[in-house]
Amino acid sequence: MILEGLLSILTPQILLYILIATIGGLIVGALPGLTATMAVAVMVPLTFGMSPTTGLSVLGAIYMSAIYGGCFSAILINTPGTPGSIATAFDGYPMCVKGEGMRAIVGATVGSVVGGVVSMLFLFFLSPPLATISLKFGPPEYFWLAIFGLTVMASMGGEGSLIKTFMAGGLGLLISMIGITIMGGELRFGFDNYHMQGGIELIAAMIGLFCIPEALNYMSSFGSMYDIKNPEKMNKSIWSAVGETFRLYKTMARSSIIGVIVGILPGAGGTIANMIAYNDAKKSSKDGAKFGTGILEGVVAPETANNATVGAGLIPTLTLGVPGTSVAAVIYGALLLHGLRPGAELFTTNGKIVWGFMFAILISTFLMGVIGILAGVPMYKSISKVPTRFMAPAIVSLSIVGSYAVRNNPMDVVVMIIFGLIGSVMKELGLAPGAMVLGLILGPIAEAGYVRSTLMAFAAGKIQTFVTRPICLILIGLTVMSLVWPIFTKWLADRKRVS
Amino acid sequence: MLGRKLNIDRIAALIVLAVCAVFWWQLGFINTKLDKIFPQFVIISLAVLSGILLIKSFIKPESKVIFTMKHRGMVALGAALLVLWVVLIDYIGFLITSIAMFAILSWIMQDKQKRTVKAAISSVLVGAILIGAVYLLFAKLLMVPLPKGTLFM
Repeated sequence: MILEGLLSILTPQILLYILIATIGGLIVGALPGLTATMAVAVMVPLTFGMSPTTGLSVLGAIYMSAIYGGCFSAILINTPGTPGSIATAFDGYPMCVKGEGMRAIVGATVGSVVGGVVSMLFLFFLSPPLATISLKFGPPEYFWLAIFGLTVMASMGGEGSLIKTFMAGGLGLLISMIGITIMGGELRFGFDNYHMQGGIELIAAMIGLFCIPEALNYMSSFGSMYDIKNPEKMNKSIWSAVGETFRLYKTMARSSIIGVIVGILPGAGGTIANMIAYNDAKKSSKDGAKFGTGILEGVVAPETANNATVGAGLIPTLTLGVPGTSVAAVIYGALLLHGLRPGAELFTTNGKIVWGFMFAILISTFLMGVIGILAGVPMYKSISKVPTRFMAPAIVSLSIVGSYAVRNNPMDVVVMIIFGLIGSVMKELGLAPGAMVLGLILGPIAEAGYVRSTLMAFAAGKIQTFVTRPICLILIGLTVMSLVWPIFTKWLADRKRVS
Repeated sequence: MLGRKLNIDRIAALIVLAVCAVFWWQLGFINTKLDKIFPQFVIISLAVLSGILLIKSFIKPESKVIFTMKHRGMVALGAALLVLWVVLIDYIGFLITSIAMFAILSWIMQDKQKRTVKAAISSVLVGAILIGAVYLLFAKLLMVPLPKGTLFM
């Protein structure tokens, strides 16, 4: 069955489709505002006329490469192409400015390929036992996962004050609560404005917070994109950068595992994995203090993790019929449309198609690595020469289109500009806009987890539900460690300095 | 002329405290208790953090000159043009507004002596090609209908 599946996609036609889908996914992922979910959803109707193997291969290839594509804009213009690449920008862009953009792109590419391959291996060989983990996650676990995710803020402030970083995150949480409430269905923080009923669109706010301050920054400097002090660094060989990335095998291994675990949890996905892996790499690296200044590990870790969610997200989708990520949910729909019913029997009744689909994603993972390096490195070299007078308005144009395209809603463009201006002021005041985005992402997960857990606790008559479940205890432990670690390392560094 | 140093800790603390006050007032309009608890916790935490920062701003303040970039005037003008860009899209659509705003921004974002007719032509050309490509990609290929503007509807 496995071999049959592999052979079914090794036809020139399907391989060509996979190649085109991979390139398309890369472009969509790199454009701010266009997400992997949107790309896969747009393509679903176009796969109706194809055979199930071809159609699903195209969707799988788009999924994998769109998640990776987000790193290009994050690294080159400090604007994450997808929410799953937010943490990539923290070190990727500073590397570009230092003239090390080629290393950053190669590092992100190798990391993405490794993360993608690892997650596919988990999907191939460990689907059934891993799928059961996703069923053990109830509302209290989601609440603590979101709280643990919020501790990533401790890594985001750079040299700024920790208090201000948490304040920025708190503002994000508060803004995420605008809209219709979970329990009563009332308009909360809406100021009687019906436009606020749908809440603040995350993608529009994220584009504003990341892109507009960058565009305004370019407006203030007449010249070329990066003020590169050592241009000779730009001409380093690609192979040496590949070797350098592979030496970070421990970081890639840990980030892959983080990506796989987060990926199998329904609703979590690449954004959270990207942030958690960055935070983990910062804490475990001997160069932790250099994170945020342009360090290869800071790019490799988040990029490995977000692609590791791809195969993992498909584990509960294919084996239990419970999608692990939003893109996996769209693929779940596509499976049904092609007459395949996800569940334990899928691998026996339609094994050839399912294995073909999984091999297609694996092939696309390698293809995106080759295409990414072939296209990304020259792209970096040309962008570095583009005058800022063209780059700034280009970023603004893409930001406008990107924020509008999410819901075809002009209000989202207004939201994007408002958040852009807020982000510019926040940066000047030392309030990290990245922390605000984290709050915006995790706020709804934390609140939904809290409300549902409270209802569960009331129903069971036991308030301790929040803290006594085994996975909750692990997550609480990780949260405490994550909060205490920066204080402990700072204390250790101070002690060393004194002695 | 960079301007004077500001106590950014105090400014940040006061702004966040004001935001907390506004959100707390808005919370009064919510009737379901369970919908109030989480935001209450966040607002109180934020207010406590702001209070700590406010105290710090008196004891060990962080002062700096904000918006220290080379061409501050250009940034202010750029921000105003961004707002105008968004407003005009509603009336004359994405394509025309964006080409015009792209050309204006790229023409003024250079030293005065370089703002020549030749530079203006290059700004319009680059703007038309780039915005045209974005328009074709989104509106025609990805089927995302971009705003046409109320004047042309």
